[in-house]
Amino acid sequence: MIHSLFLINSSGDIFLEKHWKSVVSRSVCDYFFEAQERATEPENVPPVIPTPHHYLISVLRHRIYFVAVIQSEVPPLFVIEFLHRVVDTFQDYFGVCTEAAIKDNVVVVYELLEEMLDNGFPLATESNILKELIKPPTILRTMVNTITGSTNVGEQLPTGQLSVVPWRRTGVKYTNNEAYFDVVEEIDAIIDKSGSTITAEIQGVIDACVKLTGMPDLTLSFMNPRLLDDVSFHPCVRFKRWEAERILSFIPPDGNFRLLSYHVSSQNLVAIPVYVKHNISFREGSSQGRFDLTLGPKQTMGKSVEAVLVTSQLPRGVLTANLNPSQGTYTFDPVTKMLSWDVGKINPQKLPSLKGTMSLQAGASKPDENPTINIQLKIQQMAISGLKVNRLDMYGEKYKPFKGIKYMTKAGKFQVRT
Amino acid sequence: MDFREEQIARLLNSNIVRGTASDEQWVQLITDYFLTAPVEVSPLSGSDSESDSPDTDSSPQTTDAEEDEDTTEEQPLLNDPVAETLQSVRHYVSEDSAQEIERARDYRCSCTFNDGVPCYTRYTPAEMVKRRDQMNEMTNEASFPAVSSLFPDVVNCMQTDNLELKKLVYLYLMNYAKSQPDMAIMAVNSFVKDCEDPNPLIRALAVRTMGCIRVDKITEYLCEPLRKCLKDEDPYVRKTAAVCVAKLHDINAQMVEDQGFLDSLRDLIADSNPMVVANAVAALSEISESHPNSNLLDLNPQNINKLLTALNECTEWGQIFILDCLSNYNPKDEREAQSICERVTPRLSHANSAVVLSAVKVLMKFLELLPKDSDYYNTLLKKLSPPLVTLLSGEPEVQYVALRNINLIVQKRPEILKQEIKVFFVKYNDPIYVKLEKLDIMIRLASQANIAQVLAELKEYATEVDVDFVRKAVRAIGRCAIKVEQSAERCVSTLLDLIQTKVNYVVQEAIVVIRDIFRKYPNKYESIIATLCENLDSLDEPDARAAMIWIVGEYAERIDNADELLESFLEGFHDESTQVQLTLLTAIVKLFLKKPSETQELVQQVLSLATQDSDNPDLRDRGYIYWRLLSTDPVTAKEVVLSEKPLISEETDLIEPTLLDELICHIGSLASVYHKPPSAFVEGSHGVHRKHLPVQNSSYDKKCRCRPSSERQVFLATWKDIPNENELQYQIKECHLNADSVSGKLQNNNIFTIAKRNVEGQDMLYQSLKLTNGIWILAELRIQPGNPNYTLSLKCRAPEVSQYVYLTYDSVLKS
Repeated sequence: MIHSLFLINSSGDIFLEKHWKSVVSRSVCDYFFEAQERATEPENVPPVIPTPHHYLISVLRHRIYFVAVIQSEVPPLFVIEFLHRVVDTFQDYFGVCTEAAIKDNVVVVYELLEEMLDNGFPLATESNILKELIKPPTILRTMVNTITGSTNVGEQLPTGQLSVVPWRRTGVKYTNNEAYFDVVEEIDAIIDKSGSTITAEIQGVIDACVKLTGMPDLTLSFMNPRLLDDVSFHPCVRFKRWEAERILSFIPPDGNFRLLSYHVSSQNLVAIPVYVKHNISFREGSSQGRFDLTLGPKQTMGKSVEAVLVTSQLPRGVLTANLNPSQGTYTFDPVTKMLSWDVGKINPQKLPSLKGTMSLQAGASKPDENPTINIQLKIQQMAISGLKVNRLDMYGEKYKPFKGIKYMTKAGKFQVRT
Repeated sequence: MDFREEQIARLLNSNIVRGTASDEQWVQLITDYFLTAPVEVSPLSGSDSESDSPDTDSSPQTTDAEEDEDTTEEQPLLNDPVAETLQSVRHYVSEDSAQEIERARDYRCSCTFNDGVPCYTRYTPAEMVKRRDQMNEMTNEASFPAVSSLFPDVVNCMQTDNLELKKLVYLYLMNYAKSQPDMAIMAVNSFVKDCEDPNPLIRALAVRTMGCIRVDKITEYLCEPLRKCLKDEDPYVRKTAAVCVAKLHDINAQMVEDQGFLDSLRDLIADSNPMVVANAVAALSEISESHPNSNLLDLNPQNINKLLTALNECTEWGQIFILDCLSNYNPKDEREAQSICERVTPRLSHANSAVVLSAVKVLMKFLELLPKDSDYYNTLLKKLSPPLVTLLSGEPEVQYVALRNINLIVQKRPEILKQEIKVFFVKYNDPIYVKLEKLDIMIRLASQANIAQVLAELKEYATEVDVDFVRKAVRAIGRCAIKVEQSAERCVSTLLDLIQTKVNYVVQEAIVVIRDIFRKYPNKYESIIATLCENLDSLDEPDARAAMIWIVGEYAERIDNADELLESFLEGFHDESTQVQLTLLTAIVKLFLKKPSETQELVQQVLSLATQDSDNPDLRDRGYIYWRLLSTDPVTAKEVVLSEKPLISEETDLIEPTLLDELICHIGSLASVYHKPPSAFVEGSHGVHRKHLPVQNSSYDKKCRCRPSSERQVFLATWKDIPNENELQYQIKECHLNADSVSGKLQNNNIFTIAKRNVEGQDMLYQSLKLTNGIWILAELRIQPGNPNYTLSLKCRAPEVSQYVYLTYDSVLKS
């Protein structure tokens, strides 16, 4: 199982280590540093690195490498999932997961790591349970602790730990009972030069924020459940009921959680909300290149496309870009060659465009590579797959909760090749 | 800002610690807060200042006189941190207690006050916090005593009611017990006491910590509390105790056996709480890794049923342990396999990718047992595809592991993902390790139906920035050409387009793959040679140069200026790599055999370069062979050098079927990431037994229609490679044949004799056969003249088939 954990920042310093079994010398990380040196980009460090006596499994999140050391045959995904859980927990506790936040809260960090793993076996990883064991630091609590001398370690065995619903604690009370569900869909797509779709798929999630008293039992039904043929559920969802009736029936965790994530595959027809007209070209023998980009809405079902951000990695030979946006602002980083254009909202009457010239190094030959255009966008009040929630019912409690549902579509990895 | 945060920040910057905070330092901090609380004096700064210090006012009253006395008394002990601690503590306690402490210095472990509370926890938490705050102001120049020397004092704190302090003390013990084993024994009583605390949290904490203290003496005392905790009424304690058995086994395996803890663990499999079951399974599987008998958990249908019940209710991590355990089970028939599959399938919809992949492993393994024409088999295949696709929408690290596993799955059962090739298309900002894996899988899935799409993608990739990826993309085009015959022409024209880009490394890589295409489709695409020759000068990598030279030599009769081209390479002959030199030598000899009249001089030149001026024995030998062949028997030379070459096929990059089957049993593990069997790389795993896919018993008869295979060396190598415990011996009785007729008889039944030898009057026959499902069986048949009983030794990676092979032998020989 998991032996040790090292946290390494982007400049290659080990700033935290934790051992669950015997101590593993930090020199084991030298193998990681070697791999890091070989990788051109920070994200290109391979996740599994063998060393003579150990295996290093790492994830990169928030510019911090979480490197787990294992000694025997352990499922790597198990380790990776656990590391992600550690990151999520830190984020949950400290708001952000940065080197500074971890160093500031080093005591809580150690207390958490000690609770999450015992002898390499995961112990308590549900945020509900952890929060009962170790209370998250807040300004108020810090002050209270300082004055009264009380600690942030819970004294009681968390109630949820062993019940049939380990994700929910008992005795939850709210004055306002509310349940909100966000249906968020991300479109991953590759569009080729000519504008036709090579692949397009939708990654959707339903994130919930449930603040309900007691032990409510919810059911959520959809207008068109057939869309959901590839789903991953939160452990609270009763799978049998879904199989039989296509209804989500569950006792929700308290607070924020991801109820469901789903995937609408490339075999279904996926609507592409925007189109891009582009002309990025370099002439042989000239140190100038042309850049011409126009965006327009495509299949948006009448909703407006907002928060559009266009980024593109221009060829290495490009020195400067002199462009003229019809709306929004653009920046070009001459070091990373990253062009980024913050478009804002697309007005169908007046399509946004970015036109101008790029200059190359004098005497440099025409670049070989074609830049890819990355698009981020948001469409409110619409799930692009067409998924619609039919109704939400609550059983087991008497009060009437306030219910809300929101839809949103975003671009995930939306790439246009030129 | 919290005082602790500040303190830590300060420590982080100071020279006291190395610049980072580890467990040790954390405990150091904590201990410092709680135990070395000299607010007025920094411990090592000498006690003279102590008596003068005006700050003493703030502390509980002690008389000046006593203080002075103390200083003189304590003088020689100043460097003893315990003494200092005790001394400093005096500031906060009453006079009575001060005397008590004085005594306590001699009886450190029994330092308690009248009310039985250890001295340092006499302070209320609020007081302690105050102390710490004060200390924080003072610590600018403080230096702390060696942490491990505080051991007795820390142990005294164990009996506190403050849970945080207790946790810290436990943490401290885990770190330092090893350095002071004699002292650690002092903690035993408290542990034993805590193991009976009314609060289950404390019981669990105590047994958990005790297992982490790797001191033999402590371990002895652990057994009784552990036994109790394994039967505790609270499941939380039971599940912690289960893990503790694994810890204990790591420290002292013999003791765990002797004390019967393994049986207790097995009993926990039947526990009513799913979490306890899961942890017991996890502990058992960890123990079995280092246990000589790897079959600790008896997987019988009852146990399997318990596991399946627990599977639905335990946490995600527990599900992983249980699924991994299930995958070791061999169902007795297809009905059982199907019912397990039905209960495992819902796990495919789990949000945790590790659970999904473990479930995939179980299903992939049990699929073997299901009849291929059944409806359920096909439904299951369909169900496997979406979760695998979903794994690819996870974080890049998850994608990587998923892709390595999918690579195995598409080789074993390409039908699962054949519709999904698009999800393997590369996004330009994928990390390079994801890109390379996706590419590999794309080629494996390429078929006539999707080749156009695949080629368009590959061509796109060939214009990307990353050189390694571009090279692999170009190579992939070549592999497509070899794999999908109908697409060869398209691939070649794509490659030609790429050569036109004149990007150096693209051209070179393209030429290397075109050579392979020529090997696969001889005499089909020679028209492009002219284009290739245009790029001759730009080739600077040995691979590409060798490929080009090979092409020129192979098609010398169609290239008018072949001699000129090859001559141009000859100029820097000695600077070339061996690979290029060898190819060049062969190419010129080919050219000479095809056009003897014009190239005599050239061939002389290269032969003398190779034989006289070269230090490389390979090159020299090849040179001499050609030279003698050419000078003695040109006809034979032609036969040898210009012989027809076997075609190459795409099979070359597939994983060998037996290995693939073994890896399928290890889906989700490190083995599946490295594509190597665990025995090849997991250290110290003497307990690792090779896993095999289950086989449908009924089909053995059919499968024994095997093909002849293996040559002597292969036989020998394979024989050595298979572990000895896989060798099984059988007696074939009452058979009156001699060695030759035996071998003849077997040959008629497609079992071929590879070698035969006579050892001490016995005839030994070596035979090999391969079942249609890819399992190799090696056989040694010993025949003693005059003895009608033959000995048959069978060696095979899947020893469970040996029995059936023996039956086949028996029936063949007696027929």
